[in-house]
Amino acid sequence: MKKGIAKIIRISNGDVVYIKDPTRAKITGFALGKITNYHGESAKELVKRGLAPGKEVSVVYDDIDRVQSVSFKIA
Amino acid sequence: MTQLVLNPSEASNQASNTSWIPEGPIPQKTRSFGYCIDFKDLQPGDLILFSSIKKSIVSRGIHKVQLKGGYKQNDAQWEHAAVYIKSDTICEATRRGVKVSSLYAYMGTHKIRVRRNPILTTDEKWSLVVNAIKQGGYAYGYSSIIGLLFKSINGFWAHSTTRRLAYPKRAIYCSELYADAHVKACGFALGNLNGGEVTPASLSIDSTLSDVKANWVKIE
Repeated sequence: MKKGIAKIIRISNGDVVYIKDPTRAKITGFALGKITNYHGESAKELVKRGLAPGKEVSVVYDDIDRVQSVSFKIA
Repeated sequence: MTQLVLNPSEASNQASNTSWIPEGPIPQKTRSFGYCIDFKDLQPGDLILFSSIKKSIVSRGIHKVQLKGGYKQNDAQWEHAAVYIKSDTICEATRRGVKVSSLYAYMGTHKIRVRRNPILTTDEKWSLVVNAIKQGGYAYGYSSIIGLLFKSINGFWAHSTTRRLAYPKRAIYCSELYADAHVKACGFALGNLNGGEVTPASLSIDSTLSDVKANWVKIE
């Protein structure tokens, strides 16, 4: 399990968030369900609460570098 | 990377020795063409890439945008992407929105290429399919396409640094449909992982996916 801070690059129209961690070579992505304390909000609702490109998020990765969980400060 | 392409003009050379008797009605256009992709070569969750033989204005536009954005001809030629489900059924984002449709519509008129993530489990493949189908009812992502056009002017090799409109509308385009479903199914991103965008050309070049050797079969 590894941790990192990443910046949101893009939120796709299919509700997948793409992030860039400066310690990693490539962009990775996660579904909204990976967000800590996620309660089924739509991407639109989360955008209103601060989930937007440029926002920094805390990421926990599993042993094969997939996003396990994400937390960010809700506005 | 050698691409394994099914070319309609080479169907008689590429066809396997077995012929195929459809179990039900098939479109007259497909029957007239005389060949069909062998569905036994395909698996749920496969990426199907299409390149039209006679390019429409939209196809030519996508081709040009991808070339301008920095992809070579072999990758830029792919202008549409779909998720394979089963039999002749695919899930795709077209100008009419995300829908389940038939591979028969592409027989004889498009070059076809099948790609697959070899490490996906059967559960993950079906999860990919389900996540794509769940986008059904989404409109076509015209605004995203326009965004890609503008990005191609700077080149897709440019790293994404500018803040862009984050408001995600219920609209999606073809390669994004596959890439998003892939992330939801197995947690790995596809596409241009430097610039952040996904296009049919970026799925063509993505090394996470491997080409599948598919064959034509002659229709009895």
